[in-house]
Order: sequence, then C-alpha cells, then structure tokens
Amino acid sequence: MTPENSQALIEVPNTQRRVKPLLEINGICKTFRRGKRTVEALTEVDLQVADGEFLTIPGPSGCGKSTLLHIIGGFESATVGSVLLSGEPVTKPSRAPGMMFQHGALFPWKSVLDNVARPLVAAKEGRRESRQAAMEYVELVGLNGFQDSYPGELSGGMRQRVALARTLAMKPRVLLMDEPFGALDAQTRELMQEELNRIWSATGTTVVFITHDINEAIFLGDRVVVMGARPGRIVHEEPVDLPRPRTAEAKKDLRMLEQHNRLWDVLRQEMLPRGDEASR
Amino acid sequence: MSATGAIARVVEPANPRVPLYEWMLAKQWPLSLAAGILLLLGWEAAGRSGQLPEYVLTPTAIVRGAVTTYEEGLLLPAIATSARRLAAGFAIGTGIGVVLGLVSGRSWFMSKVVDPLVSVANPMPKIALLPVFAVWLGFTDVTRVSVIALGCFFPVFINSASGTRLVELDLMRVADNVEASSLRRFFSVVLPAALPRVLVGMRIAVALSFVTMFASEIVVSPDGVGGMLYNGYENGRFDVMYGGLLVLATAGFLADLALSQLGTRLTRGQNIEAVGSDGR
Ligand SMILES: Nc1ncnc2c1ncn2[C@@H]1O[C@H](COP(=O)(O)OP(=O)(O)OP(=O)(O)O)[C@@H](O)[C@H]1O
Ligand SMILES: [Mg+2]
Repeated sequence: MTPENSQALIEVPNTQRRVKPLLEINGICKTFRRGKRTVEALTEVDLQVADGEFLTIPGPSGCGKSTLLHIIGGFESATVGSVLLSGEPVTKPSRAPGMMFQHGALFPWKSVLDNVARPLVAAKEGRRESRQAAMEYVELVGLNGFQDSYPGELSGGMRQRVALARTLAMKPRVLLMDEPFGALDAQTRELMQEELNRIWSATGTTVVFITHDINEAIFLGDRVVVMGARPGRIVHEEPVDLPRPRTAEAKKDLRMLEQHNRLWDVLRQEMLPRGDEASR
Repeated sequence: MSATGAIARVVEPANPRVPLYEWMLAKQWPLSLAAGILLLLGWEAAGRSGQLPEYVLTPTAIVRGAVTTYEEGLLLPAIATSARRLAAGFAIGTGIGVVLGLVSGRSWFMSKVVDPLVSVANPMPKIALLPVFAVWLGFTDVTRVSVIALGCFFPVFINSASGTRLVELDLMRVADNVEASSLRRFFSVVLPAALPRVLVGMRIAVALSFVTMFASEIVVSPDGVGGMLYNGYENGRFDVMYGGLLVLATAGFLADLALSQLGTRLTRGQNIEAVGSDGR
C-alpha cells in the first residue's frame, strides 16, 4: 500500500479539481541500438494524465510519438524510467492500456463483427455473448449494416471506426491512439474527429491521442502536450479551454485560431533543421 | 450524423434479359468454356478430314482410348495405385512442410538450423534422388512415396516460412494487448495470416507431385497411370497412351481446382485485401 500523499496531485484541466493521476510517466528515455548505430528516440519524458482526461500530443514526424505510446502500452520497454497506470508499473502489454494502431491493424480474415468481438472472445466471454456485446460497439461507431463485411471491403475511415470499436470493446482504463486519422483524407478526418468527440462524451474514457495535426490536437483535447524532435521530448504544454460538447462550430472559434497560431510557433521551431540554429 | 450512411453498396442489377455476350463477358468462365469447345471442335474436324498425322489422335479417339483401357480392366487399378501414392506423398510432404515452415518462420533458432539446409537442397531436382532411395529402400512404393513427399515438402516449407515471417507486427501486438496466450496467438493470428502463402505452396506442391509421381512410375517396372501410359507408348497402343494422358490431365486439373476453391473459402477476407479495394 502506498500512502495517500506519496503521489503528487495534478489539476484536472479547466477545473479547480486536483486528483491523483491515472497515468504517470516518469523520466522515460529510449535508445534504439542497431549494430553500432544508436538512435536516441526519447529523453526525459515526464507526463501525468488525470482520470477521464483527453490528452493530445502533437509532434513532428519521427520525434518518437509512436515509441512513447508503445512504451505506455507495454509493447516496448523504456531504457530508463517508468510508467505507472493506476499506480501499477506497466511492464508488459495488458488490457488496461488499450491501443489503437496507426494503420488500424484489423484482422483481414475476420468480419467487422468478429474483429470487434476479438477482445471479448479472448476474455472467454462466450461466442454468443461477445458477438452481442460487440454489436453494441459496432453501433456506437456508426457501422450498423456493415458488421458482416470484411475490412478489405471498407473505406479507410470505416476501418478506423472498426479499430476504434475493437479497442473500446477491451474496456481499457486508458485508450492509446496513434495518429488514427493520419491516413484519411481531409474531409473524412474532420468527420471522424467530430465522431470521436461524440463517442468520447458517451464513454468518458481517458485518452492519450497522438497526432501531427495541431487543429486536431486542439479540437479533441482537454490539454495539449507538444513534443520536439531529436531526441523526442516534451517542449510545451497548455490546456484547451473550448467548451464541450464541441461540434464543427468550435473549429471557427477565435480562441481556437489563437491557440493554433501559438502552438504552431512552438512546433515550427522544432521542425526547423538543426543546422539553421548552428549557423546563426 | 455518421459518414457511413452515404456509402452505398454495389449491387448487381437483377436483369433477366441480359444479352448473351454480356453475360459471357461478365462471368468469364462461359467465355473460357466456349474457347475450349471451339478448339476441340477444330481439332476434331482437322483429324476427321485427314489433316493430322496418324499419331495425333482426335479428341473423340482419345476419349475412346480411355474407355478402352477401362474395358480392358487396366484403368481403375492403375488409378487406384497412382492415387494412393500421390495422396500419401502429398499428405506427408505437405504436412511436414507446413509444420516445419510455420515453426521455422517463428523461431529464430529453427530458422538458423533448417533454412540453410533447405536453400542448399532445394535447387536439386528431387526426382534425381529416386535411384538413391531405390538403393536404400529397394524399388518399392515407399521409395516412390518418399520422392513425391520430398518434392512437395520444399515449396510448402518455403512459402509457409516466409508467410509466417511476413505477419504484421501490429497484428501480433493486438493479440498481446488482449492478453492472448502464445498458443492462441499462433492459431488466431500467425496461422490465418500465413494461410494464403501456405496455400500457394500447396498448389505448387500438387503440380510437382504429379511430375514426380509420373516419373517414378515409368522406370524399372512401370505401373500406375504413368506406367499404363508408358506401356501404351512401348507397345504402339496410342489410344492407351493418350487415354492415360487424359486421365492425368483431368486429375491434375481437378486437384488444382479443389485446392484453389478451398483456398478461396479459407481466406475470404484476405482475397479482397489482395485485390485491394482502396489501393492500399
Ligand atoms: N525498432 C526501432 N529500431 C531502431 N530505431 C527505431 C525503431 N523504432 C523507431 N525508431 C526510431 O526512433 C525514432 C522515433 O520513431 P517513432 O516511430 O516513435 O516516431 P513517430 O513520432 O511515431 O513518427 P511518425 O510521426 O512518422 O509516426 C525515429 O527516428 C525512428 O527511426
Ligand atoms: Mg508513429
């Protein structure tokens, strides 16, 4: 038993409430070794996520976003540092952090319904019951009528809906999303963001959402944490104070534009080639 | 509310009065059938009008030859003998090939031990081992079956191993995420993901098994369908020779058809994926 006060309290964005964090990332460093070459993917990443919070992490391409999420999910281990979920260290993959992968990672040989039912079947919930429960998630993501289709028959946006439904069916304590809409066209992406806001309001899950799109980060998040590159680290952090529920209207809000500009200035610095600084 | 409502499914119009040529073009197989029949008719006509040398029999004469071998009591025992060898050789070679291939694809150690052996042994024509086996085991059915099995083993092993190696890492991670046991992960992820490649190996193996079977039946003491055909050649009985050829061709066609049908059924979603519905 850890004494109550050993964990620092964090503030829930846009409220005065202070709570114990659900997810704690303490001094994560990650170095990849390939023969003699080493890549420092992450350095000294500290992060706390409150229960029920929607955290978005924008960052330039290749800055270690996926690596960070893989470490939180237990799929890879950190070189230094620790991840605590509900106070327990994460050392291997489990259902508590549910991962939605960058490219969906659907089983092409399974129908939509069987893909979504997969986590339930694995939990030995019985085939009938799990398919019934899976159907509810299929409906939640708006895919009624497509439950018997195969992933190969679906559009990119629909596949990501399936992947989301499957991850939700795991009933994870925290939902890890790795650029889930990155491969979609601009219009579908906008629709999916609105859908995700709706689904998130309905489920209230804690979310860590990775993206390279600042607007997406602001529109979805309670709080935005910007990552910088080489090595990957946190360079900036601020809450989003747009009222919820957020609809397409929120994207026209002046506060959103201001925040976009501010965050873009931060991110731009990180995306400039390092040589520029040296030559200045 | 959701984007899926706008997605219509492609439905074939149920029009009973489709012109014949359109139906043939749409279904494809009637076209192939018509071409085949035309070819046979032309062949028959050329033979009847004396435009072919006498050692090229017409299609009807070939069918008559096959019937004659049946009436003389040669055909059925020959088919029984050959089918037994083929089935035993294919089952043993394919079985070992699939198991070793899947294991070698997943296990670093096995791949280091077995793969080099396979790459050294594969280019050698397997039928060349027939005399070697005959020296060890005598010229028996065991020898013939061994050579057929050996011929089947290689394509199945190589395709199973590479199919297993190509399983997407993220699919494995999904299985880990739902805390699947390694046995379950193997049967619900590795095997189905590798199955299309395994089936490709099996189709190559079936074609090869006819070659090795035939070769093993025409040497030393010819018997089986291959032997029947060979004896027809030796004794100047062209009707028997062509009759045997017809039987072999039909059997090979049916075996391949059965395997490809089985494959289509077992890998339904994956075939759509392979064709690519959105260019991915
Ligand atoms: N298994 C690995 N072995 C070696 N280097 C790796 C490995 N995985 C990632 N890296 C390196 O670590 C860095 C961060 O990779 P990561 O995939 O986390 O970036 P990312 O921010 O998710 O990029 P993207 O936006 O393109 O998805 C990159 O430089 C990459 O080359
Ligand atoms: Mg990534």
